[in-house]
Amino acid sequence: MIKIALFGMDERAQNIITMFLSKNTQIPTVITPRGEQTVAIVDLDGVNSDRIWRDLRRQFHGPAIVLSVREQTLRNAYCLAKPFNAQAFLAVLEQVKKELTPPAALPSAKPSAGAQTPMAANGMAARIPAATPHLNVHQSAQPLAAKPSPGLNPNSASTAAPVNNNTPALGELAQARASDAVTAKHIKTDQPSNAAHLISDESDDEGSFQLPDEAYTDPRRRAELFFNPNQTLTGLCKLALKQAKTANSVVLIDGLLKPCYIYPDAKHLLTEMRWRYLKSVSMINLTASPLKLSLVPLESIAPLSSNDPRIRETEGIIWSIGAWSSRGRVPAGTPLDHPVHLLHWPNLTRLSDIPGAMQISALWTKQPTSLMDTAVFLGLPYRHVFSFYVACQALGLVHIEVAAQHTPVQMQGNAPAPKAAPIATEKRGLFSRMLSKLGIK
Amino acid sequence: MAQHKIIFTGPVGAGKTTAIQSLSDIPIITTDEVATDMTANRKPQTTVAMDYGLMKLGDGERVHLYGTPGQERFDFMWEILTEGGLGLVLMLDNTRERPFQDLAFYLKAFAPFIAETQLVVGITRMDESKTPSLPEYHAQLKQQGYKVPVFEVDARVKKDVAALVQALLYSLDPGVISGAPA
Repeated sequence: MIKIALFGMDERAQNIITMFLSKNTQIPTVITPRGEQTVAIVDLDGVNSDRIWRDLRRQFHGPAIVLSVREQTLRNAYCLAKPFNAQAFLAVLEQVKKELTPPAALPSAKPSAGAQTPMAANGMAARIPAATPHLNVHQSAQPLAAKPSPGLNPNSASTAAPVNNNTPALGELAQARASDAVTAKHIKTDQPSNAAHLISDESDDEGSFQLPDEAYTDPRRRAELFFNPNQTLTGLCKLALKQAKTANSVVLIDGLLKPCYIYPDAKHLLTEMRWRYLKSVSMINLTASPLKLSLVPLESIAPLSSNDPRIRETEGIIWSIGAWSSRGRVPAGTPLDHPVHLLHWPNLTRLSDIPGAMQISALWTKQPTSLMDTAVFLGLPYRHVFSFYVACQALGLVHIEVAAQHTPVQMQGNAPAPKAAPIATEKRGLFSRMLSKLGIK
Repeated sequence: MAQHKIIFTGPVGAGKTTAIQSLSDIPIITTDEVATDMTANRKPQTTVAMDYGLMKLGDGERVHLYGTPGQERFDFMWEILTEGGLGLVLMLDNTRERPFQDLAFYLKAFAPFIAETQLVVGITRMDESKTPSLPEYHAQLKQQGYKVPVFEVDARVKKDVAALVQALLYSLDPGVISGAPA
């Protein structure tokens, strides 16, 4: 019987894993209080995950299974990339079981200090050669920096040095990587299952990340309304887009589950990463991840004219990543009470849906309104307004009026006083019924 | 019971008839005839008077959907059709030779109606021709003093056409809530 303790998870995630393990009869396990475990399962995507991991390792040196959307290389740990499936989870448990059963049935499967293997996407327990790139285009990649940063992921296929940028987040990423002694455990999963969805839904569940409406009007929680985009995927993509444009070259974002290539036209990117993974990774702080940017010769990857399904339009992805990274917050320093101008409507038929996007677009076009007032006037949750703002900002569609003399918008009923002729109540009723007829909820 | 209407306009082959078909609760009534002029190059049949569709809101309340004929020589119909309309849906075909010229033409032709109501623009066939891009349309509209919704649409897809009408309604009144009582 393997004694397992769970770390870094909320109650829901704990319940899901407990339920899954209790129904699994192949490998007998039992959930025990912390301190009594023979194996630890740790979610490394939480806010305090670094501290949780350090604390755990001070007290417990046995095998650990770490769950993360990021590539993790940790000593004596089996890394399981989210989203993962039941088979992958069981495969890891099987390896742990063998490790705990002397003599080890598969000594070669044990973690070996010093070797480095990235955590791979979604898959069955299988070892992939560490140096095999997902796309064999890196060999001739050109460095962007004079000196490569030490400790960067050696098996993420790049011989190129990272972009030499001043973004603190990326500097921290490199440092975090450099200080990490590494162990090789490699799980690859490709087949989803219900159990996997339940587990990975923990990070998919926006509700668990987003602020309640009362937080927005509570002065004591003011700081929670802001985030640093440079520490999220949206900041990284923005930097990559800028680098691609400046260098007129393809930029590789390396260190995520799979490589992502940004084309210099700024309209296309190439990646095999699925939306679900992108969403998960967008919602976390990337400061501890070993990410890097490097230039790649254009001729070494698929031409834009090809029908390669991995080539996607940048606009839609940048928009979604912006909204996910926001999690109902706005970049630090954003004035919440200054009018927001929408430069033009987003292409809402081809961008992922953000609740209230149409209403907010219409209001900001007609009458620039502050973020806080927008939520009140339109009766929308603040988090939707804030997320929409960040998505628009990612596409360069908004700016905030910073003039000192801002006259607050007058309220009339639950709507701002429009500069145009007021709408008769009769028509609002009609419009409401029409929206309902069109299937708008 | 109150009767309301939305006007769909745009050049030949831009998808007006199809868009109305996507929203209508009744089989649309069209006055298509076999094209005998240059129009035949783009479309074997063309609307010569108008298209007509209907959205039934319940309790006998109806929204009439009118499509203007695409050919300019029928523009005498346009003033009649727009009278009392809620707003204008302009459909433009991105594969046509001069889409901006089309845009300018319809903005001018419907200027009085747009001034009284609202305009939304749907660009069709962008999968076949990526240019002009939507930002370029926005720039053209801005030059003429318009800041209106412009969406890439497929007229055959109800969701796309519904989004145009939705944007039109929110442009008229951002505070409207779906399903709220009158």
